[in-house]
Amino acid sequence: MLGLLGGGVAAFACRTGWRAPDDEPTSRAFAKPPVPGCDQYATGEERWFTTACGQCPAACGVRVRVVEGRAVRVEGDRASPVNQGGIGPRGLASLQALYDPDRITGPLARRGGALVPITWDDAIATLSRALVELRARAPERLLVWSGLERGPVYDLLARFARAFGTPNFVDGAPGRGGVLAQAMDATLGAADAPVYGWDDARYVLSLEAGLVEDSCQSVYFTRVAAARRRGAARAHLVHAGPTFDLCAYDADEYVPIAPGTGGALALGLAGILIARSPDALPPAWCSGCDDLRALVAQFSPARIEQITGITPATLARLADELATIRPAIAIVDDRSLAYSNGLATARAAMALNAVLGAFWAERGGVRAAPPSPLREWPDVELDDVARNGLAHARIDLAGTQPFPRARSIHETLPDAFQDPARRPAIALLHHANPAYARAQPARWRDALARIPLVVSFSPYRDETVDQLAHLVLPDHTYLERSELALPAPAIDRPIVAARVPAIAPLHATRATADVVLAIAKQLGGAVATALPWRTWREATAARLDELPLVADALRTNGHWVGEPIAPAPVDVALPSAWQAPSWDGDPARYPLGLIVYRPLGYAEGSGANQPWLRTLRPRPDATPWSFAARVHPESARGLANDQTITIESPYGSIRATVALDARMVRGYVAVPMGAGHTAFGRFARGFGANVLDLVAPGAASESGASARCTTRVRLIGAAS
Amino acid sequence: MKILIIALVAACSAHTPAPSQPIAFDHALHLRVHLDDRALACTDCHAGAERAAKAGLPAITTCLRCHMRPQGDRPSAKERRVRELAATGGVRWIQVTRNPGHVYFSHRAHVSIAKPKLACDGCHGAVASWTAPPTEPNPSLTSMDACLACHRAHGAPTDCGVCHR
Amino acid sequence: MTRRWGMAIDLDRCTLCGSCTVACRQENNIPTAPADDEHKGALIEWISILWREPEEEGAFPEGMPFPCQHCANAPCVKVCPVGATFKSPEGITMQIWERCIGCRYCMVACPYGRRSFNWDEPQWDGTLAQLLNPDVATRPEGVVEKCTFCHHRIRDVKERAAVEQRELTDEELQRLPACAAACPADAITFGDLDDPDSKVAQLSRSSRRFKLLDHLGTDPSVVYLKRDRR
Repeated sequence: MLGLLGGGVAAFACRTGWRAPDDEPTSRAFAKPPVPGCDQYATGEERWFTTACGQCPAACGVRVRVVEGRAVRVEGDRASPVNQGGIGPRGLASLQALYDPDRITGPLARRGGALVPITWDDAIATLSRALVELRARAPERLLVWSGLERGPVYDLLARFARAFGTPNFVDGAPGRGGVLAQAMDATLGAADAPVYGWDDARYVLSLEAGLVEDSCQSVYFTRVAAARRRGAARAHLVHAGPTFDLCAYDADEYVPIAPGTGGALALGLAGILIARSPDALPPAWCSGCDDLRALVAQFSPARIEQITGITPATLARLADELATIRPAIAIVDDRSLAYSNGLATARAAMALNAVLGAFWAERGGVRAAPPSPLREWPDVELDDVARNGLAHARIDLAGTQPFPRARSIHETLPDAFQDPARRPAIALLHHANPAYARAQPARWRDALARIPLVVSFSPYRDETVDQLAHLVLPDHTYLERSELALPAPAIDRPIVAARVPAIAPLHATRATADVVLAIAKQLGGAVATALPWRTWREATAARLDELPLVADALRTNGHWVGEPIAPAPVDVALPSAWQAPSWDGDPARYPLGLIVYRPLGYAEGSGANQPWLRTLRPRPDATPWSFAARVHPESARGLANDQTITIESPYGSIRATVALDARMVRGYVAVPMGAGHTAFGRFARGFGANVLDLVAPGAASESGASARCTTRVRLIGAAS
Repeated sequence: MKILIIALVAACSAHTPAPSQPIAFDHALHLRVHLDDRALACTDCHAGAERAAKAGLPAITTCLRCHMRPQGDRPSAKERRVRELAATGGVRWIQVTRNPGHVYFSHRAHVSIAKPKLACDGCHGAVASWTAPPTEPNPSLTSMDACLACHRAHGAPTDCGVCHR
Repeated sequence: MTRRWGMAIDLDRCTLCGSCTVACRQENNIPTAPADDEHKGALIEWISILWREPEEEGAFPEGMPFPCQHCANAPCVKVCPVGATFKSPEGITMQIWERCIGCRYCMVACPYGRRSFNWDEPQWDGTLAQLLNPDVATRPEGVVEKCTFCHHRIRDVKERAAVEQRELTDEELQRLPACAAACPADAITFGDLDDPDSKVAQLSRSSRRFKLLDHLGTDPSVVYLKRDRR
């Protein structure tokens, strides 16, 4: 009704020259919203594609509904072993990642400060020329950075770096090579995140884990959490942590502890359990039993209370429950380990799992992740140039003192970029936006600006592209790509998922893998020999050589699931030390510890261009579109709810509103990541502030991890 | 005032030129054609009519089923056009009659589910006599009065939610 | 054969991930208000997460997915002056956007606050308009909109079954609405409350069942199952 009237008024106005009076809200002139299914649709063609979601490392199976060439629905694939039909908010928002109106529509080059469109031929020729020149001079000066953690595309970039002759291949995601994988390597000799048998465990102790919120497999864990609440064998979930997050809400019991102290809790519980049953640790399979006994002896209930805030009575009760309800496991993930002592905490948690017998349990235990079934490509044949290049030290210092366990490190890179002796000449950035998503973004911008050629493969105009990249070779989004995906560890079976294009590329973008193959061809010689495939499809097919069952399953179901890994009498190495987390800043001036967390959905900011995710609350009791610092009323020192404040650390300051939260641990303030974008499209910009402006730079010792919860801050109200 | 507005809106829309289809399709000719032992049916090309809400307009591959080879001694102009379209990414028919955005019309509900089943020409008119594509929307297909009259006459549901979306 | 569509939401399974709310936006073309101050409170939500603080100190708070309750005795229907909102024969509280005059009496009448008004013309910037679901009409500025239990999906599955000359099965209904289909925790069950054997009817007889503001006599078609912490 209103519609007809409004449209009529507009038509009337245009015919007679009649104008609305000046005080009429002319900007509200009525226009009909697009009418789906009517304006451009004609043939009624509807197709469904089964593919693997690429919005996070979980690689859930999804089905995409495509009507006349438009992707209009994404839903979970019931047959997928990961998500079994459910789907997370990020997966649903895939369509907004695909149809983001601010996507990059083709290759760009920086000319006189601005990014201007160029052709693909020019883009590839420009990059190839620079790489040829660099390889002749100093191949180790190439930095290849992939934000992925596994899978054939990741392998291809690593292979390209190796054949080129640079040791400087950096990866980004926490799954493999991260703190948890390092702890698993130290404990079991298997460098990957573990597989937790929550499906069968009866008692689950979460040590600050973000299982259903920001873990690499949050949809899988959500499914398991729900399944283990109803039904015959109910699992008891206890969550220890500093904030009342979703995992705390979903638990049967929430035990507040000081942040970063989950390891002390694990050692305290291990100590009680060992004292009760001295043969809890089978010496045949455990090395370092005596070290662990000496270590847990240092953690008396009184000391545990001092460190964590848990009373001896609660500690004893938790130990009772762990001793009597089996199978029992302790779970840590990336959120638990975001402190300077992450590696020690993970090793302490694994020590508790050893005491609980979780590594040897038939069911409901903790296992090393199943290995990838894909065939490796044949070894790279290195030429002299590559051999000489690879002989150089890594610029991120990974694998050397003081970071012996690190596979790659981010936090040491800005210093390397500033150092003319180590600075890369070319940086290739794939799924990486360091000018926003790393501690002290200004420091990263300054350091990256010193690299003569920064190349980004991002499909979006993120901060790194917008402010720094000299050359942009935009990738497809996952709904336009064809590749194999290896989901982050979830169930105790190996999984391969096939990603197929649901729609033809929307813009003149190209799959990064194909671009890398084209560049390798241009480089010629040993690099071209190492990457001999004409197309990415051919390279992928080589990974399935002589695996007809896997290939068939991928073709018919979109995924392949292997046999469960058999429980084996694995050898376990136990830790001999644990450190408390360190907090940077003078406690007298900066009284509060800053907990930086990834809210469900928009993660560290990579979902910020998807407005559906912005409508999720960063915490269930928060308002949408809010950017709030959560703090206990007693730690807020008179600040009021919704008051705008400045949060200041020794490294920077940001503005936020206050959210008083009586369930927070006292002495800390929790601020979400993902806000404060200065680029990355219209939906990401202009909302909140980037909490990473506050975070102290620097890599955690030994692990080299980018710990984000390491900094002290103070809250300044408007009056002071 | 309101009548004036509606008249103006009508005046604006009346100036829309007749659509020019990529191929001047002759319904009458095609409906006389026999495949093997039966006449060509509407659903051979509008394949969704019996099983989907949208009857659909045929893809170029549907045309090619018969026109891959010329039907006569040599390809006619229209057959050359079919092959040209097939080589350049398909045919984009222009849908002449469209339901308003708030209306849901289901072909399958009318031609498969309704008892008795409705015949296509009952609503679409004497398609078998069309030698050229329709140029103007068929008003009886987009008038709520026409829908309701038939629904009432046959005891079909008149609940708003059945047709509105 | 009569039907009454209903929904059972098991709060013991729900982890508050919010997938249902995003799935609903995707399925029903719900616009997203921008993040600026002007639009605070203008966010259109057919289903959202309701958060209730506990009455006693130290107890767990309670969160729940919160769609239209599709009351059998719907206060919003009684106040609509133009018949834009009405009860469908199968118990859905429907809303026909084209008939709505934007008076918002229904929003005042709804005790659950489960109706939203389009304060602005919805924005679908550039390529973003391509993801609109062709099965659901978009709404213009100035009308009220609400959850329809994914009425278009019910209609689709009914017609599908009729074409295949078979009865609807409870299995195909259980996760039919977009929120239920997306839920990773399988917490939302949809179906026919009048069919005593349906899963939703079985769940609605659970000892953990409760309905929101039941004392008002609205007779909601959405049944919640209490959280069970041990």
